[in-house]
Amino acid sequence: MTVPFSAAANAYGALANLGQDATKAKGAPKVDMGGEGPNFGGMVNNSIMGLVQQGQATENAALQSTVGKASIVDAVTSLTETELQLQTLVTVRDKVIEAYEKIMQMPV
Amino acid sequence: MADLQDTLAIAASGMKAQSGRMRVVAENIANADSTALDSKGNPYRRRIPTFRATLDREMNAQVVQLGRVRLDPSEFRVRFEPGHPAADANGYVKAPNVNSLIEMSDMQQATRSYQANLNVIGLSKGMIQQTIEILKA
Repeated sequence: MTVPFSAAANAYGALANLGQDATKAKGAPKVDMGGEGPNFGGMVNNSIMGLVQQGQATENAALQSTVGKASIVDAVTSLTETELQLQTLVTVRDKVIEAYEKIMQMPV
Repeated sequence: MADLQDTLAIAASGMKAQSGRMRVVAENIANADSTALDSKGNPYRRRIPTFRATLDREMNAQVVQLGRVRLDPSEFRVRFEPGHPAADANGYVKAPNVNSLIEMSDMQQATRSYQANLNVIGLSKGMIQQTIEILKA
């Protein structure tokens, strides 16, 4: 089976036109990281903010229990919750970065 | 996931309630020999911890709280000890209605309940971590 060289060139051209048309139709740049939709940066930011608050509560509980004002149970459960939250955040981040790296390694 | 995190808080409430119960048992054991100052007064009266289920509105779940600590209305023990400052005209001293065997079994129960709640925390933490593990590997 023989495929003429021009066929491939035509296909690439068609693709490029498709992309240009879409861009023109939207009238906006294709890459829009700051959109209103859920994006990765926003998610990480929210998670970190939640984690910071939780971390402060944990630190407070740990401090209070060290000086004997709060129960050790509060400190331990608070620490556990923060630990789990941090693990979730780190794991999700690693996974997304891994996906990004896979895309970047894709032969173009 | 939120359910599992609520589980941690609910089990923690159980652990707090059981430690409160342990405190009451400690009071009873420590005061097992506390008599009155004179013949008119009463000695230490055994205290009984009560537990109460309360609705946590944030989690929409029933958590446990230590309710009011009640007094045991049973009779005081009486022992013959004429030289005691709290002895009555016949030489009898009223001793607290604390039975160390009952306190011991109460203490065991508190310990086991505490452990059960601790296991709930450990296992739910394990479940959450195993779920996160899916993303690794």
